[in-house]
Amino acid sequence: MREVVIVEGVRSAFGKRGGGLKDLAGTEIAGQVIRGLVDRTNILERGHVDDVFMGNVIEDEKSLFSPRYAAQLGGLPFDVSATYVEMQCGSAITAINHAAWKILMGMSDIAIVGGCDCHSKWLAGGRYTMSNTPYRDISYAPTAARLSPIDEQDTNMIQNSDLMGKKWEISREACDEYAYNSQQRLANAFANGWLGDEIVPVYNPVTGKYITKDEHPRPDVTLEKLKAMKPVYEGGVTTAGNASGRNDGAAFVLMMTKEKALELGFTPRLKWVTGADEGYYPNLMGVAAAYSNMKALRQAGLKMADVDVYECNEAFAAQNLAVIKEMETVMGEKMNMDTWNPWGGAIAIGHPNAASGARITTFAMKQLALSGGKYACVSSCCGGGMGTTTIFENLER
Amino acid sequence: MREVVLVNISRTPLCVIGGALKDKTAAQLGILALNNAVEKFGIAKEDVNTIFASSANHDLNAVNLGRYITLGGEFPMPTSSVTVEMLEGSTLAAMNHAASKIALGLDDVCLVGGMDSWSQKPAFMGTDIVPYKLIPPQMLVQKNSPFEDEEMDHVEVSDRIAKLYCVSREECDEVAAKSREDHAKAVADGIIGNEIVPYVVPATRKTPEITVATDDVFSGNAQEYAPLLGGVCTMGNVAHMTEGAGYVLMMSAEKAKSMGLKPLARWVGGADVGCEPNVTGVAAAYSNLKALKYAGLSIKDIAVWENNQLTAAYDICTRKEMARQAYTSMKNANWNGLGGALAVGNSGSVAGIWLAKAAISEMEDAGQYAVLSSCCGGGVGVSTILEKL
Repeated sequence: MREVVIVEGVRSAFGKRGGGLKDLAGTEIAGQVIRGLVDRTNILERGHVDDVFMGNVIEDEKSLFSPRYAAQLGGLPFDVSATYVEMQCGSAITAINHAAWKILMGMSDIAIVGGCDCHSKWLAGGRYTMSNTPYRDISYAPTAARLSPIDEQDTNMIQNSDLMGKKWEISREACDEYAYNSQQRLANAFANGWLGDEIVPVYNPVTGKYITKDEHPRPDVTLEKLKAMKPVYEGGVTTAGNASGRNDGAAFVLMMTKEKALELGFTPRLKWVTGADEGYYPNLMGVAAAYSNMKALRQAGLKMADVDVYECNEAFAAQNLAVIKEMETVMGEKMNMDTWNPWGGAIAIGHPNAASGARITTFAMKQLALSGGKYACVSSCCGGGMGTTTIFENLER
Repeated sequence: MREVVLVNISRTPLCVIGGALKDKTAAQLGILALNNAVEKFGIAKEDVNTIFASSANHDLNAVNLGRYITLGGEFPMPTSSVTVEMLEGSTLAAMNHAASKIALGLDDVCLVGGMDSWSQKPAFMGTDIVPYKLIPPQMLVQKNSPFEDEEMDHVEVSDRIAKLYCVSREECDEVAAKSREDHAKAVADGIIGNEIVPYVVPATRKTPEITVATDDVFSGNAQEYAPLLGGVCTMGNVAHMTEGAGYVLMMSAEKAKSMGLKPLARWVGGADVGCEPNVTGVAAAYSNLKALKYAGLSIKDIAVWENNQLTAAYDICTRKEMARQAYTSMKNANWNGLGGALAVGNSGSVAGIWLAKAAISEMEDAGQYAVLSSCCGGGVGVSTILEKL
């Protein structure tokens, strides 16, 4: 059996909605990040890239088939294939799993895997005119997009977060503390120089500037400020302070067989151990990550305590805390909170949906390299009620 | 590595744009076909591990398409679902992904489906144009390639590669006519058509209830049409637009055995590869040869070739390119023996379902291996190899 490894991970700085990256379509950010990954690793001269796996949650402004478009912008040769793999916020994690299977099956050797999204370029959809719907039927109002065909399950994300907070008995204070920690941990990681070198500068031709700094983190926010914020819905736990942002960005990792990595002179850094995905109720979608985590741990034959780093996409503080509670209840083990998102998460750094999976994989890789731990469990919940998880083993110990 | 088999195929009829299925969005078609498929396959919903869904035209209402149809089909909550897309080759790519997942022991039973609607194709408008409220909606143009000289639609590419590969209008018309003839014969013989679950159009005050059980086949005479853009392509030798949805049931061989189901074919391998977007019509030639290399087979071993004929020129050029690369002749190859998209239309991501059914039907008499392939917009080709059991 082949072994699949990750040798490098890069990302763009994550822009605010309407911030420095606002003039670029998702695929244009992705193209620049792929170019950055290629420059950094010199992969095109050292070997032959077979595949690009990518997803984007928000319909892309420029392209019909986003991975192919991004690959072309990234300067990859035309014989590189492209596949669109999408599972909402978990897109990149799922794409990493799909790429790993393809490599394990011997159908591919080297793949660039990730995702991109640009919330500044949110598109409104209307029905097309090709059939008998008259053009004037297309109105300004975008047609309602739904996460579930079942009416009572089709709630928005803030409602989901509040519902999870209620069901898993998570207090507003716990959420705010969690969010505060996330901001502090990220600021700390940057201050120590653990983070920052994975960022590829992205050029915005409209403003003529290179974007090299994340725009979403608020390192100087205080717990008092977070506690004073008004909840989005009366009586709920979710505020703008303890939810992830809507951001612009892209992130990619470079995957290949271990054999290939050694042959081409790369250092194999993470080994793909296993991946899993599982569905859950759409209105409690965040907890799906707990179930996919547990499924993946079962597949890998690991206990909760065996994992040194849990990187879970922080859609909401209440969602992350609910995932932890559910895992503790079902597995009967206590979660060591120091291993959970040790460098903060999407609440602080921001959340360009489909890109986040590759961003947290890169973070997990750096954390394991620093701490010398063995296993990382990388997961995300996905809109519509899916959880997706990948387990990695550190090869640099 | 575990053995992966295709167990059953089910789909809706492929109806022309604005036809019997015009009111259904891609996701609604997907849910309709999913319910039909589960009933036809005789499996319990609990048995299905993952649903792979794809739609080339996307759906406006469903944010997470795979999950949306899984919920709409009332599958149990833990059922996993993912959206895999590669435009026209979506279902072939999804089959390869599902097969990998099963072969690696991560799943036992997968449903692979394609669903597409042209009538309900969403159009997108940017929301960052200022002042948004004062200007009429502006449709975005979404492209295949960022490079101007590579950005072409299928008709432009067809005309271009017809010149490169010296293909005449007559040859194209011939292929189109043959495809329709072969398809009519296959339907008359009952070889294809039994995978269709009929769609019942409810009665209205003006019209009675109509049962649609056959595909909307292109009925014109290929020679009668004027060129679309001055090249070889006409309305007659380019696939018309049809819509529908369909599913393939894939399992591990031992699971099929334990469930008492008789498999149709074994999944051998697959491949996908890129080429220049302005010659995307021949991309399937590259992926076919890559897939053969992966499976350790040669062109001689293949009894059945099923290619997604988006245009007649694509079909001819793909064969020519394969012959060129492999130093062999593809003249006598059993290529699209039951017709193809030129007869039943370009149904977007559903094409893979059609190809799988056609190949499996043909393999019974023709021989051991079949190659299914499709080129995809933007210059990607994808192939899947199946083996008779």
